[in-house]
Amino acid sequence: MTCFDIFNPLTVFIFFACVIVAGIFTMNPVISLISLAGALAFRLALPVKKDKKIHIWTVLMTIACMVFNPVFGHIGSTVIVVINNHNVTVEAALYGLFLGIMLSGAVYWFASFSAIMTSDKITYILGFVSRKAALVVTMALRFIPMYIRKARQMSTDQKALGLYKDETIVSRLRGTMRVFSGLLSYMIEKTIITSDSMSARGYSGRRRRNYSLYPFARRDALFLAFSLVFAACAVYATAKNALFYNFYPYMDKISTQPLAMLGYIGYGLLCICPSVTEGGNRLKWRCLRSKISHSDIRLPIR
Amino acid sequence: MALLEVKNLTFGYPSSDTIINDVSFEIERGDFVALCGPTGSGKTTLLRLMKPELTPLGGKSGSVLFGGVNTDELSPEESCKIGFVQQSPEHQIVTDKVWHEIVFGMENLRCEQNLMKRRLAEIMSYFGIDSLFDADTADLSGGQKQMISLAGVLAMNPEVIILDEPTSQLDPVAASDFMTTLKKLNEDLGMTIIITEHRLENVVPLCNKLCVLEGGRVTAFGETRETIKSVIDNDRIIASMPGSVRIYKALGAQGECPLTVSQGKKYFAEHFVPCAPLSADDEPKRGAKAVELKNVYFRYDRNSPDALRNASLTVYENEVFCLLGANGSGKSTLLYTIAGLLTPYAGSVEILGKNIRKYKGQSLYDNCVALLPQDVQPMFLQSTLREEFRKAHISFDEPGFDLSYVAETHPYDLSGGEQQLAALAIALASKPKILLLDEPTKGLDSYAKTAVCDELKKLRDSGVTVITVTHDVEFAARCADRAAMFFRGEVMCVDTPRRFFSENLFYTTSAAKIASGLCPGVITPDDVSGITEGRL
Repeated sequence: MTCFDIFNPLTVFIFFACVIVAGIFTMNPVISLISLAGALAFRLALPVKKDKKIHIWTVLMTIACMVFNPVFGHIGSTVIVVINNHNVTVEAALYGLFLGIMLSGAVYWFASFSAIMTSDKITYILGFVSRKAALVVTMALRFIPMYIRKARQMSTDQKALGLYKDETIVSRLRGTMRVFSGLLSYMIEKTIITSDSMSARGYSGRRRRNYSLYPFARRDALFLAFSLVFAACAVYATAKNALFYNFYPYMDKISTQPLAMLGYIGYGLLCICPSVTEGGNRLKWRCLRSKISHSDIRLPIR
Repeated sequence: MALLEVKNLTFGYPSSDTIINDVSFEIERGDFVALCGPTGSGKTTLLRLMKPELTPLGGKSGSVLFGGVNTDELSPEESCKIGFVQQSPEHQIVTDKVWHEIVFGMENLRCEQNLMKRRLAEIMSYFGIDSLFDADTADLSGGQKQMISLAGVLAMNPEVIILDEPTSQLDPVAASDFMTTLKKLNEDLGMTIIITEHRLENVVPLCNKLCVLEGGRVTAFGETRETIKSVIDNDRIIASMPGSVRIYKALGAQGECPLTVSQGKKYFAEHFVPCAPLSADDEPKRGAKAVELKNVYFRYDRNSPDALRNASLTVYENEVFCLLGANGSGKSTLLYTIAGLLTPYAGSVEILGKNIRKYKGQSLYDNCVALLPQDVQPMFLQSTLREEFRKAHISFDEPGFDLSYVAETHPYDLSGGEQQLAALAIALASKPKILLLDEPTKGLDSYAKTAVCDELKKLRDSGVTVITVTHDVEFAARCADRAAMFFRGEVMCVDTPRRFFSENLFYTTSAAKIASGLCPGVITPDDVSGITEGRL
């Protein structure tokens, strides 16, 4: 488990929105690197272990950006080689590299986001926008997989019935159509049961009150406040053009003016926030555990 | 004042005759009423007429009073005091999470957060399902799904719960758990319960009142034992009653009617006529081997446990073979393996003396093997049964059972029994030599079960080998030539039904539980009446 399980989903959502949006819209090498480093640090802090696939994909994606950007984009001034009268430039390659880094950062942030946000947390957030939409999503989450399973079952059952042939493409296509039309009437029939079940429990399309599973605690307020302040620094710096970076025709020097520094530090703190929270929480556990094992108190429950 | 009062209620759907005909009765607070009657007698319609939101469209006269108020005039909040649980575990669940399903009704009533919290905690603790709080409803078993539906209704604090065949889709263990929960609600909380059920075995011992509905009329209503006595000559109603009641009838219906197995055992000891043990059935004449499985192993996933382990089984031509076993024992897996839809990773399967791997393409299903799935409804693709039969190239006189009276009906509107028979007719259209059936009696009443049983025997006599997987011990006792017990992916024992059920101690028919101690070999109430008639 992660300590983000006890945060309100809204807090988590706003934080990730800040990090990802700021990271994507500020095309600045420093910000991209900070974003990637923060995302990786958070991946390490989280107790999810199956990251091999993601690593492979991000590396491949970065390499692809680095290779294809100079192949298709020919601006830039430092020419490496000329192919078919087209310049392949260092700037374009580096632009591709940083694009890859920025996207990789976003991928890692999204991976952590989806590890924390289970389906009920997402519907909880959707409930703020529209209660009906939230209900529709919960129902879809139940019914779509259910009917997909049913369709598979129907397809095997039809095969074993021995009535239909499926040796040619046409007959197989016909079989698919048969499953589809059968599923359709089956769904229509069964939806009546569901709608009866809803109205029997007082559903009438009037306003509902959503049950809230998640409290909003002081830790949420604190975490949210930090996130918003740090994000504001980055946004302010971006808005004042201090983080603007040009790759073409010559790459700019990395700006060190105070406003840019504010942006870097703000975004850096924002990115390190979750890792620190998660890490701190782990440390706390370690302390607690040693305390528990040293104490002589035992609960009477066996 | 009665809690629920039905006064001269008459109802008919727009397109048909009256379904409910001048029905009147009263239900007191704390009553546990079982509503019984043959399929098509209007049970479901009557129940729906008591719940305003589900009242069907049609011509209605008379009234239903809930706490003295006509149900048509109840506000939505008041109407939620009448809870309603339907038959289908799968489709009456609305949301994807268990906790959400339970608060769903309260959300609709716009209850306060604190009230919802309190109820959620109370209900989940009471049902002992707190470990399922975060579970996906899709991962639950049928029994758990029905329990969640009941919990969701209870969360709205109803005064009466109406249940329309809540356990007909469940296996016997889950069904009896569900009934025990209902009894607990009735005794602990004084909850008023009205229930219909095909499987009265579990209901009759629990209810305090019985209402018999026939052809839309209440023909008997009152205290359970008295009501049973008053309809004891009505074979169709008694056929759906528990084994103890049928044995009571077979022994001449003297004295107080036993309802449970233990009462039945006592009654039988007092009233039975001593008899020689019923001779075991002759071993059926062995034909050629139709299906032979040798040490078959199967698993769904490389890392999952074996669903079939060392399963060996021989089924001969022209027999009805019943495979019994609990949920998850792998019996359906075995059936799908025989049908060539699952491939074992070890062992061999031979169909009609030829290895199943040698059947290429569709040849296994050409006049050879046909499988009738558990849920037959999706098999129907046309708008009338006539059309359905025409597409399968079968005529109405071909199957031995008569369905021509529903030829113009939409297959979905047929009763469960009629659907099963129609599906059977369609499965037989490919002229299979081996017919595989997965739970053919699920959700059927005793009348339809008899029809299916007769049909299977007829098929056997005409040269078809029938292998059926079932939970239903009473059905197997009546219809099998041989029965087998499946456990942990393995066939544990194979025997003729009389030996099988009289030697089983727990997994056997209620007639065997009641009578086989004193009269060895008895496995059905019919056996008891056979003995007594022989004596008279």
